[in-house]
Amino acid sequence: MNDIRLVCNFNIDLINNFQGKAIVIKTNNIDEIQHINHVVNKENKLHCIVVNHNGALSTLPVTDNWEGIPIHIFATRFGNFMQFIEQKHIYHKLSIRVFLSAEIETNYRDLQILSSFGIDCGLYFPNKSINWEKLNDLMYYSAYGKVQHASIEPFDFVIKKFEYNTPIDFSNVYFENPHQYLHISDEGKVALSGLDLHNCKFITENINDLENIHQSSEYKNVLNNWQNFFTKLEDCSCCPSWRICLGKFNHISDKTNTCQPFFNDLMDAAELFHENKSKFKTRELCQP
Amino acid sequence: MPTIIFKPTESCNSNCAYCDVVARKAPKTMSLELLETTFIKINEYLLENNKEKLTLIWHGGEPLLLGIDYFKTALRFINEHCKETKHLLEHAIQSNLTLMKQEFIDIFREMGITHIGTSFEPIANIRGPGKEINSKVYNKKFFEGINILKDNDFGWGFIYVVTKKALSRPLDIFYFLSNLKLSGGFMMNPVLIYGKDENDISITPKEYVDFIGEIFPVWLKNKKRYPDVDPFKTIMKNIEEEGESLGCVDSGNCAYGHLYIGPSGETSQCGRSEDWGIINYGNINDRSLKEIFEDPRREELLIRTNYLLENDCAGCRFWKICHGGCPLDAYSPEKEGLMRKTAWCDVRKLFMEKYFEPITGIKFNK
Repeated sequence: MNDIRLVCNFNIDLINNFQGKAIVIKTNNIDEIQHINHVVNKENKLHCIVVNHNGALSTLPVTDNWEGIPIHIFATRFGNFMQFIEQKHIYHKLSIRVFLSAEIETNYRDLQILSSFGIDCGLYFPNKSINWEKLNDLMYYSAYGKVQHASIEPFDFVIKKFEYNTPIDFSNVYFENPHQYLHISDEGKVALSGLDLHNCKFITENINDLENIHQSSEYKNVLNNWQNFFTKLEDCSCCPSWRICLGKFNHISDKTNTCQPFFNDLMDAAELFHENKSKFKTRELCQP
Repeated sequence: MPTIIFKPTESCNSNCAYCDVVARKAPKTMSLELLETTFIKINEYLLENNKEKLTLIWHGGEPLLLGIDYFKTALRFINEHCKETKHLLEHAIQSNLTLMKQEFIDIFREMGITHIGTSFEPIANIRGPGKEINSKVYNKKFFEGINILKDNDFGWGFIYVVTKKALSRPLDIFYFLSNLKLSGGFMMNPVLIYGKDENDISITPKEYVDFIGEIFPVWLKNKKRYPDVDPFKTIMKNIEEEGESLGCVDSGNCAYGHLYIGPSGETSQCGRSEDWGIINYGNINDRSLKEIFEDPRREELLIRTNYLLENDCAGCRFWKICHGGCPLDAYSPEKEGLMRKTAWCDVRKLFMEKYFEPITGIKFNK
């Protein structure tokens, strides 16, 4: 399972169990960022540091000491514009992507500003409560805007990864796709998602099982969960855009008037990009 | 390449609403002795016709009901009796996948099979086992089968049978089938009822046309998203190639290319002729494959093509992609012989004139 990336807290005892792994480290302590980079890269490869900042982005003191370190910051909201402007030049030096919550309406506007500043950014969906119209507007800006701007996730992931015959799981953007990411507790127990980890739902309690996890029937079952949609003719299984959503918003009662139009538009954008691939220039960033 | 539709068993573990084969007959299974005879006869044929390849499609019933040992024995017979010709014998299989096991895959691989044809039904209680046609059980087992194929890098394609219950939701069905297999490879066929429609699922030709007609513009606009969807892909391909890739139903050329062998060794033209209980070419025990493939009654099918061109189908703009259609679809218990165009002729014309030509802008000329 060398191609599986591991997601865990910064726990040196735990990390010492791994060798040659790509690791995503979750931390709330930004003072540790350089240290994490140094420690993880000794025997493994730091894939990304995820900073959960329970506050405004503008209040987060970024530093150019983080240069070259792949970082994702999840902040609740954008915050004070003038405060942010003072740090903008530092962001430009960093390998950083900023995520704001989809629950706050002003974030849709602020992500457009961040993107136009040349800062790679995105939305995250804490409770899947989404303003679909605003989301679609933001997607249109991200996909079709002619003014130079940085990527906005998860649109950019879907658009760049779109292939005609393959489903796309944009959970990758949040390190949540069990095909590629497994979440490890401080005790070395293995979960298939951050939520499972939070709920102590583990597929194995023994870190040594990690190498053979692909043979575990529970792991296989989760990878085949998509098939549950195809046991009846309703909702997501009949959606023209299922392939880029995979039923992530299945809990929404009226999909036809909510998520479906958005995903239809996103798929059109992805297809257009796919058809014109050679005309676009790409920038290398941490690839989720 | 001659094709044998090989039905070593009529037994099936499913009770699909549109299939009455099991209900109609006491299902039989081919004895191992007869199975051996079949491969001896295939070998004789291939030794004599060593420039030809022969495709053997394992059909049913549900062929996996034969069990692993049966297929192992078949493989042994092939290795024993077709030593010099087995490279000319290609195998294919049609299965509902609900009994799939790794052991089958291992044998199929040895037989050179890497792709399995199947069928699927998103509407509840049309496909499934038991009196209640339990689609929940069926679907669970079906997906387990699909996962075994996936683990073994086996390909699969499927048939969807359009029934009355599907008519109100063509696009939902189409998106469902496309999502089920993003790489495509499915065919939407109308339900064919041989006899009484006990489950009230039969559809009229016009209903079928309107069903696929609603899907066609979506498919055409997004062909890359929805590859390999039939009947559309084949129609387009045959227009581009002027009928070069027509299947048995439309080629007007099935006469000498097809053979059905049933569980008692009975032979017929194909699965459909056997379903109708017509065109009996005798038993594999009594005749060589060469004799069966050269049976003079096959000539009637060729004559039919020429006859139709001068009669029923004279001047038809769509002759090149249809050739009067399947002779067995022209058969009716009430009318004698096969010298008439397919009963689905109006359907084809309707689809082409109402949907295909206006939507594509391609106009067929006489």
